[in-house]
Amino acid sequence: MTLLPGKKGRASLSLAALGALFAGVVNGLLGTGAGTVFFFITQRIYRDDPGIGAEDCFACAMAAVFPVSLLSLLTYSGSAAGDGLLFSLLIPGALGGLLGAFLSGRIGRKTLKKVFAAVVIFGGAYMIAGR
Amino acid sequence: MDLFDIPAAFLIGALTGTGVGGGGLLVLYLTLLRGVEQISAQRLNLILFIAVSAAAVPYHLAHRKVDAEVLAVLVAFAIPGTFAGAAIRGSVPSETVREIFGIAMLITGAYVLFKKGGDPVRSERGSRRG
Repeated sequence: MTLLPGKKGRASLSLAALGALFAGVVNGLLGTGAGTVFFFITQRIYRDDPGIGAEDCFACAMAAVFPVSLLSLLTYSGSAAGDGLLFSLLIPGALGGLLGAFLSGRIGRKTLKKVFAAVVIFGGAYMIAGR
Repeated sequence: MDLFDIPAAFLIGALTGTGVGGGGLLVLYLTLLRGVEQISAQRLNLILFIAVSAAAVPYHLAHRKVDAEVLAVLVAFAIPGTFAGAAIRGSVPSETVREIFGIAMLITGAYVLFKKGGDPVRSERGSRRG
């Protein structure tokens, strides 16, 4: 369960390095997205490892995106508009995250994923359209 | 404060915690429904994500297998990328960032919708520690 030596290990290391660089660019530019890229990378690295499941890859992605998000936040210094919303978002968001982590691996996510995909596709199209 | 802020933040936090997704949802909510400017919405999203992951990451680290070596490589190489992304963000208009964000949402939605496998519930590898 690590970056293996030899050709396969070098391929994994290259994938992790290039993918992480890309994830950083996305997160620095958009303030989100690194987790999805990290999850994709870890799934590719461990696709032949029977001891590592998708939930382990997700945990690794979450652990990696935490410091990257902290760093991204530092690049937003001086932009404090909308901070009045923080108090109404922060505590329920954290409680929801804790519940989600507990439910991870315990509930079927197929429908949730479809709903999530539909919402982001609609929202993305709406953003591009401008109104 | 809007009536929907609390349930929206809770649901987005829960989706993020399960791994279904959620990072982009708050930005969509803030920009499209609350009228917050794109860059400010991204900043608020980061703050909320950090709060959510601060609660969720310790749980995941305690109950899942996380390879410290892979984790170190991911973080180390993401750092210069983050600065590059921030530099790009600072050099283009907010409207352009908004359009790029919209495109990223379309790609994310399509990826989540059409990718095969990756659902922990359906994993037969039995990799949970507990």
